[in-house]
Amino acid sequence: MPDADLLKRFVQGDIAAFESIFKQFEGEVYRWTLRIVRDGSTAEDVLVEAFWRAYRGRARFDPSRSFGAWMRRIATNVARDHLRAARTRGRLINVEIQAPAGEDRDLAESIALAFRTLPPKLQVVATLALVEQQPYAEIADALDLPVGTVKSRVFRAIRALRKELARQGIRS
Amino acid sequence: MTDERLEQLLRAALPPASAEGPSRNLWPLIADRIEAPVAWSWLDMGVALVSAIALIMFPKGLLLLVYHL
Repeated sequence: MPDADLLKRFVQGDIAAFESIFKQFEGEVYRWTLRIVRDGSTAEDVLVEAFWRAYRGRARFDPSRSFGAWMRRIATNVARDHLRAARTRGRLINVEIQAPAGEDRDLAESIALAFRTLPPKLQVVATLALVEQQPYAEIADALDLPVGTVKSRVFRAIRALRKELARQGIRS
Repeated sequence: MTDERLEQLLRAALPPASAEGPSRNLWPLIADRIEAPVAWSWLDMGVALVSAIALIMFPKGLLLLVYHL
């Protein structure tokens, strides 16, 4: 937890203070981002963009609040923007399939493919809630949404996944 | 397929991501972006030009602008 003086200096635009805060939070923000984008190189791009946006928007940060939570919110927005941009360009971020070769691998690939067809806002909650099993309250905080909306998006993501799998002929 | 089964399959296909941190020092990239001069895009310049022309043609518009600020 950075001290109040460091946070005040950051708000005033002190780059040395910001670097110190960056060193404290880069690991945490990177891991959170990686959970969403699922690709190390993309997570690094998101991290750089998120910290840059944080610096640019530093005047909006209240030093009495949690820097980690604020940063996580920014990083989640940037990660979602990345997923959206990748989708618009038709370049879906590759996710590594872990299942062994054979029938299970085919099913895993179908599921991963179905997952990547989800709209970014559903993909984010589905990753965090279903894959990473993060608490709904934490996801709601990171997305700046009510918990009810997160639950509803998870429900919609499951429904969309099932629909896509059915389209691929998978019903088991 | 039940929700539980689907979630199980999803976790099997996309196991939780794990890593300690970035593979390299990213601070220099952030510092470079912070220190880079702000570049004006063609869109920014277009908007500025249209606004300036509008204010020259309709100077009373400035009062309206000030009122809204």
